[in-house]
Amino acid sequence: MTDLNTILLQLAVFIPLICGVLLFLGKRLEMNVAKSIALSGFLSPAVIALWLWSEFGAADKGAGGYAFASSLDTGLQDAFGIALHLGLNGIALPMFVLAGIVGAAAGLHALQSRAERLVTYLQLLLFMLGGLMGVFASVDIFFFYFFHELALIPTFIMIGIWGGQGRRVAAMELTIYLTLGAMLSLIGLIALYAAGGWAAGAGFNLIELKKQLVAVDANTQAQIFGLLLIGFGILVSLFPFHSWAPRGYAAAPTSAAMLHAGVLKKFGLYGLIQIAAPLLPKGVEAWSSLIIWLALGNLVLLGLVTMAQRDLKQLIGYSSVMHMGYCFLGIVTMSVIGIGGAVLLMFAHGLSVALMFMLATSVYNRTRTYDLTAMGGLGKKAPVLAAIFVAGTMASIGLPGFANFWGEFTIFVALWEQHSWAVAPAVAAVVISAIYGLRAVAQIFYGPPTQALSAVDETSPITDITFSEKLPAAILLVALLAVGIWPKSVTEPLNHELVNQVVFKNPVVEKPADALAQTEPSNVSDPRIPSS
Amino acid sequence: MELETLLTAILLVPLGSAAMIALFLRRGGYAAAAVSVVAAAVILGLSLTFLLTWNGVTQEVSTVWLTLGSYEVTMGFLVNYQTATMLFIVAFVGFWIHVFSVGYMNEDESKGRFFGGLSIFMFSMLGIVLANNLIMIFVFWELVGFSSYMLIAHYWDKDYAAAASKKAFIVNRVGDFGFILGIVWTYWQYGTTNLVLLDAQLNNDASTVLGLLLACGFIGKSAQFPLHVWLTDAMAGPTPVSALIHAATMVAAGVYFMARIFFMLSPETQEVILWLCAAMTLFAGLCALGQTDIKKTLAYSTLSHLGFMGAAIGLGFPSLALLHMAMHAFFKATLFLCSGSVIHACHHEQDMFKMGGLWRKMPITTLTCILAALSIMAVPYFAGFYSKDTILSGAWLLAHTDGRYYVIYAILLLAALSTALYTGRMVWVVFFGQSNSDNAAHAKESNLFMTVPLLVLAAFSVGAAWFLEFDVSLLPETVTVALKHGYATITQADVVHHSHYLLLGLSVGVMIVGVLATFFFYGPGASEDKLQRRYGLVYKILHKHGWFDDVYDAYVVKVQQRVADFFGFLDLILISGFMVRGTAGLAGLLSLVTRSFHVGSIHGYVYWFLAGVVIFGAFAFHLI
Amino acid sequence: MNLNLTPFKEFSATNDWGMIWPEIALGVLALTLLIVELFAPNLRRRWLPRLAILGQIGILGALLIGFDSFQTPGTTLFSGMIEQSGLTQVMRIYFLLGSILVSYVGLVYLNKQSLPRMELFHVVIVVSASMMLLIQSAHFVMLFVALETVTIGFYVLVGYNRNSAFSLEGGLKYLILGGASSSILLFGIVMLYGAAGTPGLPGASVDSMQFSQLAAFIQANPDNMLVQVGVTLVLCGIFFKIGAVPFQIWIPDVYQGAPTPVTSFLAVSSKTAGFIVLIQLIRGPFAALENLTFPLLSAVAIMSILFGNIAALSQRNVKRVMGLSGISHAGYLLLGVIALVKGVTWAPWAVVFYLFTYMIGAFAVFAVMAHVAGEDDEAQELDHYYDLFRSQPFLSAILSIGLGSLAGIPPLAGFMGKLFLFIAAFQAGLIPHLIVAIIGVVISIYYYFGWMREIYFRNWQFPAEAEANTSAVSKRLAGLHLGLTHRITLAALAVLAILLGVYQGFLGLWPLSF
Repeated sequence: MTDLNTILLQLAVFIPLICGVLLFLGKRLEMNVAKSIALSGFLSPAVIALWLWSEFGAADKGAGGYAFASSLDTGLQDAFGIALHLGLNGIALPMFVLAGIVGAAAGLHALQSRAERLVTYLQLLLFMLGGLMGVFASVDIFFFYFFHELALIPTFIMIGIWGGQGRRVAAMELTIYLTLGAMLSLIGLIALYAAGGWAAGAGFNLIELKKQLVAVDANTQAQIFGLLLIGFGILVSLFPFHSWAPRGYAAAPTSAAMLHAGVLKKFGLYGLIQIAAPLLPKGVEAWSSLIIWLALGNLVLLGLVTMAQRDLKQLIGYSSVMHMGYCFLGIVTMSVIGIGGAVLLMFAHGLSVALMFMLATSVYNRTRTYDLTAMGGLGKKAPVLAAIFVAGTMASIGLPGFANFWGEFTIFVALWEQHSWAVAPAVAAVVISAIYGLRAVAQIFYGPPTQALSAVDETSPITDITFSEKLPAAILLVALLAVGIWPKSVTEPLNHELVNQVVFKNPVVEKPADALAQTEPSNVSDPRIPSS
Repeated sequence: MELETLLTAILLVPLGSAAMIALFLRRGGYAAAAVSVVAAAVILGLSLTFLLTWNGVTQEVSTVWLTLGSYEVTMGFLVNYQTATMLFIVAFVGFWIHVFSVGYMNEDESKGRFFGGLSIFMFSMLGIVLANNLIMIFVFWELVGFSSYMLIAHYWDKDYAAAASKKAFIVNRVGDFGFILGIVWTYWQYGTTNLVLLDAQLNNDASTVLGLLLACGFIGKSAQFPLHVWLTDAMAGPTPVSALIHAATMVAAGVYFMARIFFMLSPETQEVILWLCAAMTLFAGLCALGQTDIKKTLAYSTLSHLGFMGAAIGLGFPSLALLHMAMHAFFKATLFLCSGSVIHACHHEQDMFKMGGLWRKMPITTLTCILAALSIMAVPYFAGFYSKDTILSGAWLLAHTDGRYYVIYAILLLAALSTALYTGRMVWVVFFGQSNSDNAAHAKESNLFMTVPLLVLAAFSVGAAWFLEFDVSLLPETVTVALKHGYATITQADVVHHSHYLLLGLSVGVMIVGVLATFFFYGPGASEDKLQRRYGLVYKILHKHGWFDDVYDAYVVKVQQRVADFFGFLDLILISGFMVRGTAGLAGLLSLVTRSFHVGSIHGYVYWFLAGVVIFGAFAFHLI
Repeated sequence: MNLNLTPFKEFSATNDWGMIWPEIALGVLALTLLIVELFAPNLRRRWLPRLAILGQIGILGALLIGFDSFQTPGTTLFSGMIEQSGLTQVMRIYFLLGSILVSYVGLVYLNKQSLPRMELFHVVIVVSASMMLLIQSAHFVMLFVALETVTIGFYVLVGYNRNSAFSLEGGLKYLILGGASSSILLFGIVMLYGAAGTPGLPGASVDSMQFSQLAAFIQANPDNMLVQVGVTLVLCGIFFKIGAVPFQIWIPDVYQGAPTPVTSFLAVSSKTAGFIVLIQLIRGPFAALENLTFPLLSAVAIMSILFGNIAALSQRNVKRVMGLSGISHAGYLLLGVIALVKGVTWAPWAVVFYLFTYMIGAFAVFAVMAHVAGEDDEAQELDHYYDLFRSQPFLSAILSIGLGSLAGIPPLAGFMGKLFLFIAAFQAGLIPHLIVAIIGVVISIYYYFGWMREIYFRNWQFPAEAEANTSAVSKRLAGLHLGLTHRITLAALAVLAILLGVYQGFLGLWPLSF
């Protein structure tokens, strides 16, 4: 059975790419054939991911807690220790599933969109998706980077052809910024390779590196981690390197934005959690105070900036940037709790932000504008859309019942242990996000319909959310709720992995002995009876 | 049935109904209503089964929900007498309000959304009631907040409803800010958030700051100063919602929570709570006189009585707080439902001075309303009398040891007077005299869906507390234990016992004064507010309740938004503009400079070439 | 059947000529072209180009079959004039491939020009052959002769389009500056000769232009002033070839003026030849001069990266863009050479790999350029590429892959090239160089993707307006139809760019053999 799963893991990465290549026959193909090829390319990773999720608990974990491991030499194994080494561990699994789910949702949305040259659009998305699956499936840190970069050119082209206004500048800023981040992290990875002892040593194999880098001294660790922090930080739009994200997402076509903001942006955090933190614990220590300050910059400053946005897509973009701050706070703690919370939040946030970008487009298709101040009263026309939008907003502002809550709350708990002072501003950000989230909802859906809306309605009657929009939304919502109601589904494998990694602290607070032995529960008696 | 399964069933039934409505009955109309009401009935049935079968032993069950290293989140139930009391109130009042809603919402076209919301609320509320640890309480705490948000926004095409719902949620979040900090701190301080284990660890050494942080949650949810601004706006929701959520149960959940974690409140914490809430009793009570909208009047009355409960907590008598909460749930629900019945009959006319003379047209409503009014005014032998006056006696009791508490007693007494005033005013103006508008003139008694719940709840607001003195009890025995306990501790104390008649006289006195004063001042069926005409300024102060809302709005618009815009501006100028575009511009500038090197003339190139050779040669000669 | 091949075996074993049969074959091919031109003029239009290209492909095939591996031990021929090694074997293939691609671009180019055809292919083939000899030469005389053949060939090629003032001006500039550089190179050689020929000094030899002899001499006295100056001057000559700062100034004008195939020839093969010679010298005679070469090369590399990228930012003419970006690529490549100076033995492999990826990427771009360009070859502006995606999706795809590879974006070959160079540089501890390189890469994104932006990003305008604005170029492009051969050739380049990016296979083993 395991063999099959190993093959399935490889397929999850390669099927989208293969389907993408097949679509080069685009012009010769029937539209329906092309669409069905694309559909299989979008859905199979999700199906496989979910299947592997269910299998993971039982699967036997090989070296470094990786299940479904397989290795393929592309020619660089002997010289550089680079090999296409795939596998999933407890940290990679949730992200892999996330990529699958969001990919399916984005793909379905794209298939239904009436974009010009649809085939090319689907093709580029498929390449992007294949890359994303690869990022989280690869044990080899070189291919981890390699797969991430697959998305760069497709994103640029997609923004170019199907993007919104302001895309000329936005696309360029995004690409340049991402390249800068990527280059810095590449040097960081090479530095890790060097620390592993060049060709003779661990190469780019994460498992080997974990064994060999224990010896590296604190100073070197700090230097390498600094590189990775800035590099990955840029990719995660860490304050103040965030300016590319909101504009880029505002300009990007919906599906691209869903994949990029939902999954691709998690690459940096994933890199920090899966690679940087375990390999360079002393480095994290050295940089922790700076990270906290920058993360608070994300949360509080950018939270306020988000509050100032008038454009729906910008608002969502900024809010997605803002929430990254929590994950950094989780990483800083270097504790099982914090890292776990960060991964949980990455998973949840990926789903919710993808949902929000999708809904933003649905709103636009009805109001013909992204300007919040010009909207109002859409709820009457599209109640179901309103309901789903409210659900999405509630998810992203961390209402219990949605996965995001568990992530945020766990991070607060973890943060308190060493940096209790930072918890207060972090929690304040929860209030801030509630403010802008609910205001957006009210501005779009509540109140009496505006003249603009009625005008649009007269020209083309406004319908409620259509099936083609509902399906992806449902996929994302169900995932959010499922993990929100039963977080164990994610934390179970995660916990095993994190506890096994010794670098992560596991602070134990002494639990009091069970007190049910007491006869009379004191909370029925009133203590302050004066002596009379 | 086994305890755990029973409680789980109680908790999950409403969730199931909500899910069913959301998925299949969005346009279901009465079908949705039916599902929701049946769910409420089932809850009531199961709860009664539990309350009648439960042996009174504190029990706790819990299951691990999330594990990360040493950190565990558990979900579980803790049942003790407090749980029993709250469970009964929620299930019982909840059920009857469900029934009432069927009649009240008969013309509403989006019943599905409304009843779905009610079910979600029941689910969340029961979660708070049964929860056995702080994190679980917080989870459902947020969920009641959400369902309240959703139901306030029921008439979402009205701007005021949109604003009110937003405000309610956000203000509650501000309270939760402290609440979250409190929980996290508790976890690291005591290694658990489980109430029983905490109780076992703490012995009167609770930290004041921690207590205050947790109390923030209560202040937000129970709308005490300074977070009280949202409750009166929340009346934008349908009246049954106001009755269920913003009078009987949710706002009282704050008090319940305080009682539940009372052992975590240090004396100082209690002191703070006491003064805040005592002030609120009188302030809100007076403000109620400044309202012409019947629901607003009742909302302020709710604030005032939540103040009473909080004061009981602050005085150190959580069980008294519970007692008043229970009685308040009955009579305030009745009053709200009556107002609902009246509003419904007057085609959504809410101005009291446009009503009048309704007793002929709506006898049942009038009767029930008067009974509830007597109860809230604390007429002896009515439910409200036992609960409210005992709190006064409690203050008196402590005053015997510490003089400052005479002040508290005085405040509470005046608050009692204010209660009599606004209630009397409402009753006289609305039901007696002659009608002041066509709507009122053509009002008809409501249908059975509404009158039956009125009668039942009115009965309870009369006799719910008799079990304290006589052996007739409308409530299951298990429900009453905690309440009896609290009542007994006060009334059997010697100090109170001696000054029994004094206390009785005082409170009955102010009550009668209040009723008579309102009769002569306003007169039955008045068509305008005399206070407004005679003493405009006083009225204005009361009406605006001290301009709190204006301050709040001013803050939101003038401060908060401007700060946000300022940072948005900085982000645009400094980061996007200066940092990013600036760098790009610099590169472009350099590029133009390099451009100027390529003059195109061959001589220039040759010179450039030779210069290179010279430089390198110089380097080779170690000149540079 | 059993032929008695022993005489042939002996011939090839005893006779050095057999070892340079590809060069000879190329010469023969070039002459054949002349003869065909002479006796069958009616074939010239359609068959000459094909003959040229097919002939070279044949030779390439033979070369590939005969190719054993990178590890062939060095064999000295013609009494130390030529030394063959694994490196030179590989580079032969490189130059042959290069000249084939140049010929292809030339084919496309000539179809739009009214120019003589045969000469172009003739000269290109001869120049390629002499480049092969250049990189094999182990003796300064050999080196200089081969170099001059190459340079003179380029004088002809740059000015090939005699109808264009730009082309002629470019030819003149290349002639003068090339002459200057050659003379400086020669001067340097002479100095070395003189120094090494001085009997008084230790390690002096009679045949002091022979690399191994020279190496021994320099080893003996590295601090000799004459040696230092001579080496510097030689390097200056080479920097001119590879177009590194401060000897890059000629590049934009010449690249723009020269016909597109020649531009590509300059950009790829000529640059490469310079680099291989540089590597040969650094590994051979100049090995002992780290104190001199390291700072010199570092300065040049850093300046080249920064200058090339920054200067390319504000260019609108794509040929100039390619030229200036070529300068920066020379800078990246120099990192590999510096790593070699610092003793990273496998660095040459990184350089060679990068050169291959650069060839593929550059030719993908140049080929598309040749297709997009009109009659006035030097006027190829970015604006001509506006909205190319709508009219020529295939060309746009190829161009994007080429540009992406040059920019070094995975999964394209160019990225792997950069990766290996960076690893080598990191191993040599060239952290400052790497920082500069990163800055360079980031800047380069702007013009590479800016080019793509022209292709894909459409400025929104009213349909009528759009109709009015469509330039003659875009009208022509809309009508342009690509034959199957063209499609296959271009697709092959793209596939190669991706293949080298994702799968290196046995190439990956070669670093171990250094």
